[in-house]
Amino acid sequence: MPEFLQYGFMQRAFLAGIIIAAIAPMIGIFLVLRRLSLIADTLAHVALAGVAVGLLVGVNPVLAALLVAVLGAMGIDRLRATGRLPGEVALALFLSGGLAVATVLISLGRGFTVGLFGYLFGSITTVTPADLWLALALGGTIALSVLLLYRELFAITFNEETARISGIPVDSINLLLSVLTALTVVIGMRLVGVLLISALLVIPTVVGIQVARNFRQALGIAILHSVSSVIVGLLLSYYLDLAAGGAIVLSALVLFALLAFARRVL
Amino acid sequence: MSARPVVELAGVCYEYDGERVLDDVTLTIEEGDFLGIIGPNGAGKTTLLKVMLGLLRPSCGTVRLFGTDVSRFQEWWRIGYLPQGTAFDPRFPATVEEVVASGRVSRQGVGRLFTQADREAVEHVLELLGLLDERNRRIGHLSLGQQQRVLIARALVNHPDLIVLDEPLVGVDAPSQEQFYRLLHRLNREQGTTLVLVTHDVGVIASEVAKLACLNRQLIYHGCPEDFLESEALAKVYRPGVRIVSHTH
Repeated sequence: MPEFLQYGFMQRAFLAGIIIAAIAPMIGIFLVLRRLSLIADTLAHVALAGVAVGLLVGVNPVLAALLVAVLGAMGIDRLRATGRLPGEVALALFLSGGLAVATVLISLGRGFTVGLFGYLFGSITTVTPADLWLALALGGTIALSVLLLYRELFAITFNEETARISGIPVDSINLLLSVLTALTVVIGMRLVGVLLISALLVIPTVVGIQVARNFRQALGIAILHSVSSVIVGLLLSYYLDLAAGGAIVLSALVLFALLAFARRVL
Repeated sequence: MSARPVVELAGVCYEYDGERVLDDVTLTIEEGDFLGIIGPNGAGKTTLLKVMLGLLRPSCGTVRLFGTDVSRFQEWWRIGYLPQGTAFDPRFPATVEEVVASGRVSRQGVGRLFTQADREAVEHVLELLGLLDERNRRIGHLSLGQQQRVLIARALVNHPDLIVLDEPLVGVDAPSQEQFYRLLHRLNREQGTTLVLVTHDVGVIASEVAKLACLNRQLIYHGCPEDFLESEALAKVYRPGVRIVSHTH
């Protein structure tokens, strides 16, 4: 066994990392192609408010984040469906609102700034076995949902109106996609942190979209890119003593730039 | 024996931002009809199609599809729809075959697997539209005319009883246009498919369709194209003195 895998915390870090890396592009591809990638960032900030609530009242912060992010996803979806506000305005409101609630709660609590810091920037090396089980359960739910609704999600992403005329329950599936995004964000929060989670949904997906010959391949390439970035990032973080979240996202970006360069030259 | 109604609009209005875009439109489209809908820009043609298909809810009046109120309509595989304009992002990473196959979803129901029958339907419609050689190409890499053919193939993949096309020929070259009309006539004649086609190209449409409806927020004319060209309605909608040259193929 390689040296870095001899520690329990690194084993858990790699397992949790690979789970979120495999899941993020499954949601990311549908968000990016519908120009909804900002929703991931928004829900991450809403989830942060949940973390703060959890820390303040003494509930498991991840579960609190999960609840608040899911409620946020439903709220955003409602606002978008009524069409009273332009989509990006609704997202901006929720994003700044989430952050505002989080900072106010922090100032009320005073003592828990350190705990919150871990969720802002990720703390993959402190993943507990319970975190891992939660990631597995949520990750499995997300993967299964996308698998079962793959054709519907594809049709809606391609064109929402023709999807409606195909009899697809577009509104329900949109709501579900928002909720699944919330779940993804909450798992990812432990790994790369609130500030960087949307990078894992977006960067690998963009690579997949550019390179692939078809939709399935785009998803496959995105997952490959995402998992590679997490593995490289965690190794760099372990051997060079870097922040794991930042190292993962930078790995993803470097890999993206190298691929773009290779496509130009070759 | 009279043909069965496929689409029935009765006293339909639609308001957007307090402005009446459709005003008291009553129109019945019967089985086997080939109806062209024309009208100037802003006449509400696209809105009419969207109300017809339940994408927009009318402010007043009723809409029935195949005899069922549109809000309760379930048999969506009986309808093929081609929306206006470039209906997708050219960077969308899907192949021709994936896009056409996605039209089968209304036959499948949530979570059902893609069957041999689905595969055959896709194969058949790709062949019908001459897209077999392009099946594995990404749609964004095709010409505009080919992209349009892919979307038409997607609309046809369920052998629908009613096909609704919104400006299907924008950006399509003349030979492909002729081919397209030949295909529509074949579907209409051989399979009795009901066709509804919206266009701004009055000249071509008049020589292709069996019936013409002219819309300018209200329904101004509904009948055969020959009478329309002679009628007052033409001058009422388009500038007086405009002469429509009827193309013949």
